Amino acid sequence: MVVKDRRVNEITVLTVDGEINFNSSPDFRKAFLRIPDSNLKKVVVNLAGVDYVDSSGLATLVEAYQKIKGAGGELILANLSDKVKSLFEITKLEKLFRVFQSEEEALRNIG
Amino acid sequence: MINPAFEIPSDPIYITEASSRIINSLKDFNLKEDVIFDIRLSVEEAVINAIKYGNNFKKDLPILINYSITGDRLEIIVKDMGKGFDYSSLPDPTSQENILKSGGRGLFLIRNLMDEIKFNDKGNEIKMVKFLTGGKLYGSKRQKG
Repeated sequence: MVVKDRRVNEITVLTVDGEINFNSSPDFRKAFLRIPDSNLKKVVVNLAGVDYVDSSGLATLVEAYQKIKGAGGELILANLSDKVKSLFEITKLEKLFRVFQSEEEALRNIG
Repeated sequence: MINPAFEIPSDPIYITEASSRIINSLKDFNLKEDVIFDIRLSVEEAVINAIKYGNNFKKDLPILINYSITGDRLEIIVKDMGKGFDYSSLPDPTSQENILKSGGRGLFLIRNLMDEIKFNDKGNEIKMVKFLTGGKLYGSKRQKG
């Protein structure tokens, strides 16, 4: 799994490529920890390159959601595959996260 | 099919090997990607639980995996060497008080993605059943038994 981060105006965008599973979740967590507190107000996670997420990956996203919310920010998700989206529906995490079909849409709607 | 059985050490690097071994044996069934995803995730979540909670990451303790295919019924058994757990009183990870918690989603996902699951009395062995051509994915859960 590879996580790339960039800034689009005031927004931090994390683009994930690969699987977010038990073995890669620690690296995914580190990607959030690397974001300076001052850049935590608006975070978009683009999951277009992710076709597999397990419960460890979901837990890492929930952890990041809480960290960012605690800092007064918002974490939103973009580009979930149908199967990954179904995991959010099953676990009701769809109620926690705002999910958009594209990164552009997420960027327009955050904040 | 004769029941193929194998074991892996309690080391997370073997999680994918366990699921791949089962998935690879299903190639002739030309399964939909969705079904393969459900089987893979369920096996990996069961193996993670066995490594983490059952065998406490003790690499010398094995995880025993056994699977069989009868008609379109795939049955997978994952067993650890631990003392088991009370599977009858698991919290609901989707409830308001648990939704922000880190753990508790693995078994919940298995319950939702497989057609049947059952534990042995001790709670250190999980049996998961998936109907390869007509289970939950297709909107109708089959009659048990």
